[in-house]
Amino acid sequence: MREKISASTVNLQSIGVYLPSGRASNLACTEKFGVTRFFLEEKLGVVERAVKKEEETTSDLCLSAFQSLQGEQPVDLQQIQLVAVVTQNPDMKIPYTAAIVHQKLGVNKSCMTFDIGQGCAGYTHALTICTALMERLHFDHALLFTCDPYSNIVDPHDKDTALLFGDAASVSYLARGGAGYQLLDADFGTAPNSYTCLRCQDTLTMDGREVFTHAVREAPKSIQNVLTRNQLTLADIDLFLLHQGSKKVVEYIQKTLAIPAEKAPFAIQSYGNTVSSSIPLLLQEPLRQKQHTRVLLSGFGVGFSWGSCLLEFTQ
Amino acid sequence: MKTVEDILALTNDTFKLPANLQHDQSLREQGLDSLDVIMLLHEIEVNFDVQIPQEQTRQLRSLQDIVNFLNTSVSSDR
Repeated sequence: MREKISASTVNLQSIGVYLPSGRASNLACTEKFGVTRFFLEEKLGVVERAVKKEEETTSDLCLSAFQSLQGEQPVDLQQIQLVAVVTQNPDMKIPYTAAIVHQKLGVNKSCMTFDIGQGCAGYTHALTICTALMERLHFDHALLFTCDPYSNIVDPHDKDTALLFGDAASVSYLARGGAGYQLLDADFGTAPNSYTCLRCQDTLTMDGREVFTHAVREAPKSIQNVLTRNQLTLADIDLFLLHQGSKKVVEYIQKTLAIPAEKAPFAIQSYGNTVSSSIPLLLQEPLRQKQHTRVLLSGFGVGFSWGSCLLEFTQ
Repeated sequence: MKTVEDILALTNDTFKLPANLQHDQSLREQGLDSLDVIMLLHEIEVNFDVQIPQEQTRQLRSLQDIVNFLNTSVSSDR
């Protein structure tokens, strides 16, 4: 069991999100891809996909998420000591996107910046990395961005991917000395011989069967690992935020764990699977409302990798 | 020996097969979509302790195809 809260713990204090207003309708594609409305609504769970403007870059979306954060909780950029961006879709090959975000925001000079090239489990990885760094190096303020605009890499004629992904960005403000979610523990893994299940050289390809199989096999085990290590049961968790891979995958994991559906929401019908942003998009409202004491995040996908984070609300 | 009934019995809280499936007819032609087939193959792997190679999946069109695969797979493992 991890050490409990001290007065100076690092807490996730607020989240800003950005969903582009542009939408692409999946219902308009039923004939093209030979799928039904029922499939889109009840299986895939995506009716519309959020699509950014063509000229918008990953760093632009991150800035829009930051504007949303300022509406939640004003952040003093001169105090920020760490800017991390989770993305597999950088603005350019060099430099990394966090440097561009740092410049565009006008963050102070004494600030560590880096990208994390993860995927659907990226938020859980990055939250853990940033929290650990802040604790080890005594940082007080950090910004953690996620942004994976897959509209740049999806082949619009590929049935496996064209109906699934949406564009979005998020930013999480991590700091000491204020109320929020504290990271208590986390669990990670990467399946051997599996990296080809989701890959992109020019366009994205996905082996849906392999992704589904790994997800429903590994995510429940990872969640149980975290709970067991912390002497908790599923009933001790108020909210499970699972990566929104598809409606069926979320439902399958929820039923495998035998947790009530309302504790494991699915909410991407109107914008799609936003990869590294899917969990922070769901976490914004509970954090704002301070509704849930214990929250368990579970991300899974590209790699094939997974990560689960146990959070506890602290004042 | 596995039978079609063994596969139909896989229906549970997380996975349901439609009623009245024809044994020899393609599952896709009987209304199962790509996700249904993915879930069915997953249930078979978990419940019958077999691995279905990716290249094999295109040949598993009907319930009978799956039964044949399972029985061949079991006998070749022995």
